[in-house]
Amino acid sequence: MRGRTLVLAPIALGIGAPALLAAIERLDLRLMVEKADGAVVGRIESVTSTFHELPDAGEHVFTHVRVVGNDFFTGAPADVTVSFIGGRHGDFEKYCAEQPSSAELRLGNRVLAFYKWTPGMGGGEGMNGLYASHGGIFTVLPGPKGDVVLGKGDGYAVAANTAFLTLQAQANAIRASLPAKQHK
Amino acid sequence: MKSSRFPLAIPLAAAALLAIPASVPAFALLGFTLPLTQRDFRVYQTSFVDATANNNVTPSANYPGATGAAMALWKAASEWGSYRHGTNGSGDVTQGAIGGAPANTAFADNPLANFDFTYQGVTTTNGGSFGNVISATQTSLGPGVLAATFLPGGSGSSGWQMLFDDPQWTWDDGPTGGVSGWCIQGIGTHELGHALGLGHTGVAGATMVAGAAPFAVSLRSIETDDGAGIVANYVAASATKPRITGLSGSFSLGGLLTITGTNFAATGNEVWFTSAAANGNPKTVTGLASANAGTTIDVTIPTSAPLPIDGDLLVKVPPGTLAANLSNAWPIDLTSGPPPTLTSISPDPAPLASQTGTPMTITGTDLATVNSVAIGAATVSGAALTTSATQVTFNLPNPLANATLGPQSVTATSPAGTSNALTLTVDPANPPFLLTLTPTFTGAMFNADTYTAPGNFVILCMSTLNTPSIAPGIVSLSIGGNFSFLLLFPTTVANATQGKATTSFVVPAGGGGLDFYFQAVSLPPSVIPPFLASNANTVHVLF
Repeated sequence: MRGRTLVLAPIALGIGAPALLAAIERLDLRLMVEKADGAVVGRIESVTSTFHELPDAGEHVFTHVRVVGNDFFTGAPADVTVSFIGGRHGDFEKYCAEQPSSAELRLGNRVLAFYKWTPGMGGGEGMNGLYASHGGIFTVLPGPKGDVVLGKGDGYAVAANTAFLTLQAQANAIRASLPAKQHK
Repeated sequence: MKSSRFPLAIPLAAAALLAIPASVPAFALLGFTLPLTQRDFRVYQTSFVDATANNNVTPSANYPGATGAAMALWKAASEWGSYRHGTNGSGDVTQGAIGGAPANTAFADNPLANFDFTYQGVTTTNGGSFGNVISATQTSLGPGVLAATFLPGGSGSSGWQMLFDDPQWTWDDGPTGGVSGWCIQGIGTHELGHALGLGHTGVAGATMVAGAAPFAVSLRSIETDDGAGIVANYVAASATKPRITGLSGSFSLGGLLTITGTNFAATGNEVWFTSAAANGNPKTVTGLASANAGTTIDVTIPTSAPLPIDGDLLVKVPPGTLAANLSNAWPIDLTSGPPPTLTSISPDPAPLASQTGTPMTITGTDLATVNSVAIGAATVSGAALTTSATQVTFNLPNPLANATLGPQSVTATSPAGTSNALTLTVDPANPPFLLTLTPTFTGAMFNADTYTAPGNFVILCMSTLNTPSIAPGIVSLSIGGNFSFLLLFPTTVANATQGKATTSFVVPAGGGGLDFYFQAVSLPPSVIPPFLASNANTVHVLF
């Protein structure tokens, strides 16, 4: 039970518990930078949802999170909507065990979100999918020495709490080492 | 008030962030438990379309009748079972035993929790939000997502859905550890952990850990932390939980099966079979007594639809409200037994059609699971048949469609095969039989079929009056108002194959909204009275 007490620690600090729900690809920062199309860091401006009747999977909800801020790699202004399966649309709720926690998605939260354009996601043209669903979004908080990105543990792109500038530098170094064709 | 506290909390949190030692959060619970009615699951096997997803066709003794993705997911569910699955928990080369405590082996069977999934076979639909169906989808669940369990309203207590992402990943059904794609069994074990109410853990190596490294074979076997999670959600398997330790006796439908185990109730036991039901519910046999101090139950394997199929067998003891009332799941390999043997059919001869219908009886052996009877080119099947071990009864279809007159071969078919053949002589209808007529409308072509002896002349009579017309010694009709209004259609001749005569005409104008009464009279070639009349039918002219 000791472990469970530790899980509750972030809640007591008021920053929201990590989702800790995933049957997703195991990642580290290098894999995430390789696989994602891009990443945005900024404030959550809106959280909306749409209802989809998928031809071979039935009724589902997709949640769309608009993040306004800057491109994680270049710092250029960015306004990106990332999507994931699961959520509530009106009275219809279909919770996905892989979706981010509601605490991570509060309006005004500062987040780092990795995304990848995914054709056919949602049954239509496609969406900017939040990479690895809850595994692709990380809370960013201010600290005395600058912003800090909260890690989610082993197996996530950001495993441990990391200074934002440090993480950004690491990500850009990884990106620079990749073949150009992998940049999108 | 929450929003006003939030900004104050941030600096406190941030100051501590980089100082917090790496925590190792253990199992997490999603806040619900599955009731007994939601522990069933089915597999939409053909939705897994990768070549490697369904190429394991090697039978496994503990997973009878299953192959490919269905077997892999059945093993995944068994991993969370209260005891080893089957005699020794065999079925996975990467671990000591499937089921029960994480450290179980072929020689050790320690209990886990008061929880067991019930495998209910394969299906051909995704089951919707509440169907407890595991399927693969051709629609991406999102980049980096391997599979997902969906909990309507945030809980699986009313049902759940599980999807594997097919466009993004290649899936492999094992069974060896050397897979060439993502392991269905491994990811399935993980996702079924969600379905039963577990979240994720930070304990490295556990099945419920967050991210899966290729190809997730290691997730097949739950670890200590996973076991602690399911025990926290469902309580450790109690000492009074009913437990199956073996099956013996007959494994044929209709046969007497003996279940051996412990903690069976003296009376009121319920046996659950994996079922061919379309709704995923088990086939149950209720009201069973145990013997030998609660260690054996004799049950006759059902022969009624939906039939039990190869799968798992469980025992539920009354009162049925606590999880501990349901036993572990034990594999059962049903045999179809010998094919039916027929000894007689009666009546013989039987008419091709009759005014009163003809009840038929076939006697023989191994008839309990007969699902169709062929009489020449005619077939009687499904719910039209009533079966027992030695008898099949049914009402002869009227007329016996596709059949011809004369000697016909009669066979019965069950899942075990087709019987020997008997001979039934099919006689012409006598007295004549007028097939039921359907409503018609002005200007439509109208057909009336009369069955009688081949070569007989058939005269179709029509009237608006539903009172008799009787000419003693010649003909007796129930329509026509004592011959006051009786329209006779031209004579037709009954054919040789069935003795069928068809009278056709275009419905004339002026009869819309009225009922017309029909009866057919059959005249032998000798034209010597009396002439037999058919049953009477009514036709409503719509407009």
